[in-house]
Amino acid sequence: MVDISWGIPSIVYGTFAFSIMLYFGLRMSLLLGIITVAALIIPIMIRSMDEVFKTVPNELMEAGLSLGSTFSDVAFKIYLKQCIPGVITAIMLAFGRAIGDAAAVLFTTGFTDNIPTSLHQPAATLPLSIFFQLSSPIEAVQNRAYASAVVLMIIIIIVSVLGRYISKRMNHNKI
Amino acid sequence: MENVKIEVENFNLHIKNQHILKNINCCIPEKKITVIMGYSGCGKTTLLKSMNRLTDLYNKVAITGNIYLNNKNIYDKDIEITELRRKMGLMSQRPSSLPMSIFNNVAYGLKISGRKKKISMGLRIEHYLKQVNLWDEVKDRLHEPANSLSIGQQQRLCLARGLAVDPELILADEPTSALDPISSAAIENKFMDLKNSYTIVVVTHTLRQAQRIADNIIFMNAGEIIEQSNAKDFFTNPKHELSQKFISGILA
Repeated sequence: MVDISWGIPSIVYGTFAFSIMLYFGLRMSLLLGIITVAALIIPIMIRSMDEVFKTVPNELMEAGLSLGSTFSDVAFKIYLKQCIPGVITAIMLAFGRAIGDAAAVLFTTGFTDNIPTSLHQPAATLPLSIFFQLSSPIEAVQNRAYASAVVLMIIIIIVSVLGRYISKRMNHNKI
Repeated sequence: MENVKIEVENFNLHIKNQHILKNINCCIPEKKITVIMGYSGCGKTTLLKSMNRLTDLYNKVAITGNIYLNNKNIYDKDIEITELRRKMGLMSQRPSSLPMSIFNNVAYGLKISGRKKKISMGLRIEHYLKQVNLWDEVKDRLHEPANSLSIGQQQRLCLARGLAVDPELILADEPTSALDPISSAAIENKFMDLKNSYTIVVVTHTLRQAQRIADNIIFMNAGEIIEQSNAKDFFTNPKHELSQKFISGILA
């Protein structure tokens, strides 16, 4: 199930969400885009975190439990410590897919030239603004598309450097 | 008559239709070292894990019979499992130090058992590390990750962590099988010291080790208890043919 939903192209998520929106008579808005993208990246997160947690040796669970900790103690205090680098990688993977995704938000978030003031207004995502502004005939607008691309890349670089830094710092206690 | 700490009564355990433990009846006396011996795969570890209900983790386990700890059935529905497990420190074949610093490994045990006072934490940790003769080796690097220690040191660290929750019993599953002779001797000596205040159950298939430390022997084969007696009788005068064969391994 998770594997299937991972394989679905994001445009399908977008159009599916759009058809649901039409059914309920909703208009494009930031909130709906957020929900769609969340649905898009959840399978990615589940799958990659699942792989991380599978690598934890069984003895860790036994050791934790036999000290008299509860399951949630073991999960949050031991497993998480062991897995945090992998979890961060999973989040980064999902983040990269989410921020660069244009198709899923095309019909759900829409596009606007204004800065949204509430979750119910349409908003411009960076990939979409690259797409729309680049197809404009006015050169100044086209330049803004390049600016968007730079901003997008900078965000991704910052996040991945930060992720690497954090997971490296957390890594040294791993067994 | 010595006090009985754990009593196993008509205990059967199936995993996926395999009959792992067959009608086990045995007693673990208080403040003695009981050694469970037998060939590989005869159910020693499973019996040990049944005692602190780690077998609950396995899939498709069916259990009949009772295990009494201090005359209280641990398979009763109203038993508090975390409380039960806290009473039993477990040492596994390979040390399973937690992914934290040396200090926090022991502190974890203390925190879990509800003793959170920061002031005394350092002193307590020193106390437990000294108890397993690890303090002098690690006192300068308490905040380094536990996996930077050698396997033998980690095993002692696990023992310290187990002691920190203040258990009544120590269950040790081949605690020295991954260790060099010197580290093994350190663990064995520790057991000899600790048996004055704790009940210790050790699983081993090293006969010499059993000879050195055991007060009582439980000999198992293919999921059944073949013989249980005190160590002296067992080694000098084994009653069952299988145990005779097993012991003759020493002489061979």
